[in-house]
Amino acid sequence: MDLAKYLSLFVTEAGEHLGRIGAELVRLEQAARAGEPLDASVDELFRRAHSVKGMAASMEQDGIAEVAHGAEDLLGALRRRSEAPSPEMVDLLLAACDAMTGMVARAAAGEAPTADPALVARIAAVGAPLQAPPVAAPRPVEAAGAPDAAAAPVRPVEAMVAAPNGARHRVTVTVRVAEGCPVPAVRGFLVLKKLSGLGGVVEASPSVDELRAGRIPERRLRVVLETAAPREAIARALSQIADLAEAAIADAEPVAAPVRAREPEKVEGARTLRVRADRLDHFLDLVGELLLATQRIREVGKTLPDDHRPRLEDEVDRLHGTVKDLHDQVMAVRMTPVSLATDPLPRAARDLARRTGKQVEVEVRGQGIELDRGVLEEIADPLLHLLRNAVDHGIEAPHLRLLAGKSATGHVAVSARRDRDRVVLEMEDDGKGMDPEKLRRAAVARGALTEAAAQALTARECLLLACLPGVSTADAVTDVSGRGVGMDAVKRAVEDVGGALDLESTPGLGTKVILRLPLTVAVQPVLLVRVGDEVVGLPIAKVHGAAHVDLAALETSRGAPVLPHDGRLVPVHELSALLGFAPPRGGPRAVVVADGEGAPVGLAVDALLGQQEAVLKPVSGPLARVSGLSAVTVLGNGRPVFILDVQRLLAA
Amino acid sequence: MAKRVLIVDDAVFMRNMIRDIFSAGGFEVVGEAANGLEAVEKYKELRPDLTTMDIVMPFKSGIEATREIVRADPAAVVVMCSALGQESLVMEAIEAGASDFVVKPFKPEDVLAVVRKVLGEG
Amino acid sequence: MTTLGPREVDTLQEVTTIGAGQALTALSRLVGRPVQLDVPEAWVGASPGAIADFLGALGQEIFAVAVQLDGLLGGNLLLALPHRDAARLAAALGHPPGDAWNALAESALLECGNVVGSAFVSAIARMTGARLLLGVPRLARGGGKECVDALVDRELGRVALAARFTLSAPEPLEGLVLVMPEPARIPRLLAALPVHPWTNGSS
Repeated sequence: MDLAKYLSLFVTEAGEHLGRIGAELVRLEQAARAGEPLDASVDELFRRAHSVKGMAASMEQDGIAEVAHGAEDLLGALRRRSEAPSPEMVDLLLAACDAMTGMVARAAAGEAPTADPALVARIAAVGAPLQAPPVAAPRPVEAAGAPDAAAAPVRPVEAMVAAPNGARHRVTVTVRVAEGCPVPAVRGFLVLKKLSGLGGVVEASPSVDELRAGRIPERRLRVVLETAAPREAIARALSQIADLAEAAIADAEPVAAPVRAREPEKVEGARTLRVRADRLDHFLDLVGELLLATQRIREVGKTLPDDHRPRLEDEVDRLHGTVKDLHDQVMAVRMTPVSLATDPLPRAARDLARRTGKQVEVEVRGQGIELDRGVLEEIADPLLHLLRNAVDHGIEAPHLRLLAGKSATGHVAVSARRDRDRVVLEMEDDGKGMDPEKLRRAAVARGALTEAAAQALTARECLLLACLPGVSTADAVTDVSGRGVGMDAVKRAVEDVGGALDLESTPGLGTKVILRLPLTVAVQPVLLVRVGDEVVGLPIAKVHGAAHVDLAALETSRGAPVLPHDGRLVPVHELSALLGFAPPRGGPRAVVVADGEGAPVGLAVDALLGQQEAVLKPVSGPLARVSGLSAVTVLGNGRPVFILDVQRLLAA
Repeated sequence: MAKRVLIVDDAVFMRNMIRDIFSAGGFEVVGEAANGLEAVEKYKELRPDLTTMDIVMPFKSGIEATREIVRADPAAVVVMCSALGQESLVMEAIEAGASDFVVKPFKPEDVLAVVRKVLGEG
Repeated sequence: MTTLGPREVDTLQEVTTIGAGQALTALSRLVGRPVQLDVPEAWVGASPGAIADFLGALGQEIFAVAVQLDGLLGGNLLLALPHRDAARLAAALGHPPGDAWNALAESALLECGNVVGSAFVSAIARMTGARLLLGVPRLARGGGKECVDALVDRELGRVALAARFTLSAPEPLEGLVLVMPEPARIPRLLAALPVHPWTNGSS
């Protein structure tokens, strides 16, 4: 059998299962701490591990199957005993999950990786004490109930037999759909769904995928169910389903065969289409080209004689409308839920907390809020970084928290919400907060500000000093998140996608980082300006205002002209000088006020050419090393125009 | 006491037909909705014992409406009303929480049988 | 009795979509108003007369106009409307029935059937390259079951591709277009259709 064509499906589905296993393990640990019931979680973990094992076995990925089998055994034992896993067990299961994820990646590359014998042995060792049957059943006493009993532990899971009421047992449910039913496969699907609400489906014949494809040979469905529900409950559930000609429930025989190639079926979530991300990007590029082509046609239209022009313009307008609609649709497909970036956070916090001896819980709200995939990809790492900061520098050690009258477990709340044309992502911790005074002193000590300038800042502005490179008030440099807080990198990443970062903090109570992100990136409005013979663009998002100004009439301060703008004096630089162009000729000029480093700056240009929606393309290759160039676009007349990154231009 | 039914379908004649079937069958029709949005609103307002749900509707599909209703009330009984060729949609609805389904062209006695069974009246 | 598999159902739905689409465009021109058409649904019953019985579950009087189809596609095309909606359609055509349905109002409905049937048949003829014949429109009025039974032989009345149509003005009305192919002739129709490059999802 040629397995290669099933490989990508296996990789995606196994990947999903493993991802969910990781998340569920973190949730399980939290629930155990809170004393909440765990059965459903352990159940789900067991079934997912079983799925991965089955999938891997049928793909002849025996290494993955072996690790999954070990995890399944451990989880199965926990399930039988209704026990909570110890933190060491969770560590081990997470390690197994990580190992399997790595192995799946290698399988995707065409390998058939073998299991790490040390890992497999460790999992078996940790699970061995649990393999003895539950203490409740009367048994000849073993060595004073010592957990590592030498007496051979019972081979788990597969050897289960019908157990007394309340304990799990296996039954085989067989139904036949009535002749009159026009869609017997759907009826079978319904039966399967109802049964899966009563326990775990170990086996279904036909399988759920065959039912979905409309196949149900002889209108008969057989399900092996592992359940704690009594027979009467199952019979009652079946009696509530119409169009069944026959229904029978029997005890399932214990099966001797170990690793099974069949996967247990569970009716999963709603179906969607999978599309490769790069295909979507290509789609978007093509739509961008369409937009530019439309503008070019418009330009050509301007050269037509008057009597032809209106018709062409009408048609071009209509075309533009359609293309914009298409663009919006493609952008909508690019919209991805924030959960893509927030899902790894609980696990990361957990790992970090364990390593630093702290206790942290992460709560995420609003995971369903959608953002452009490009934006999300850019802020995923920064988010992780912010979390590390929160856990590393924000949340205090448990004993310190208790002393401060807080709960021993620190909380980080991540929330996402829409606010008109922005998505607001907030990360708030209840740690020790940031001290504006400390930041002020640190910034001055670093040489980033003069003492006088530092004194002039409000407490709020002091917090943002944390975003200057090298400013760190960490009491000790930890190797966990590196030197300083790296907030400057986070702020830059956020601003690169057109967003903004803000900080709020109260010493002793906690810190909140607020990211305001645009919904989409690819098409942005730009302001076109002429500098000498060249036309360059500035992103409107970074422009505060523009005005026609007689430079000679401006006051100067420290040799540079200053422009009054919005209640302050803004220093004016010659853009031509910043770009290394020839100095300007005389005549009326204009000044664009844009975001500079920390404060607005004025850029003197020769003319303001207007605003335009532009499809921005990234610069690559040697151009990418020119500081100050952030993107390029093509005007309607075919002319390429560079978009400037003012802050980087000033810093260069 | 008669069980209370909410009927959801964008076609007036279907709503009328289903209403006639249920009234004759001893049920009390307490409300109607013509699309998924209305369906969810009316469900929350009326809390019927049973909801019949068309699949393809404007503004919000029957599948989405079922999902929201079951999320709000896990004990909700929603019966999907489908036609041939919509099998995958019905299965999606089942995954979203639908309790059962009927397929057009149905006979009144078939509909009532399905509904009585799913409500546990044998 | 032929059984209809998923591929047949899909193809019939597509044929109906195209044919009914043309048919309702013609109706729209006749009425001078926009007409909305729902996606057709396949109603496949197990026993003869299933469609008549189904419409019979509707506890109100309907009007139905049927035209017989012959040639490659055999069977019937029906326009069915509840009483009030039929009156509104007649009114939209300029012949409000008033208290008693007069010959003018009825002939307006018959004309609708003719126009819809012709457009449908032309569309199918274009698709298959075959000729289709249209019978004279016939009208029935009464309960759903009685109407359909009066117009369509029960043995032939098991399957319908049903598409709801609505007009929002001058007064909102709703009706059904029912394409009821003779089950035995369906395979010939399907064989004559151009083969599509796509494949169905199910077997």
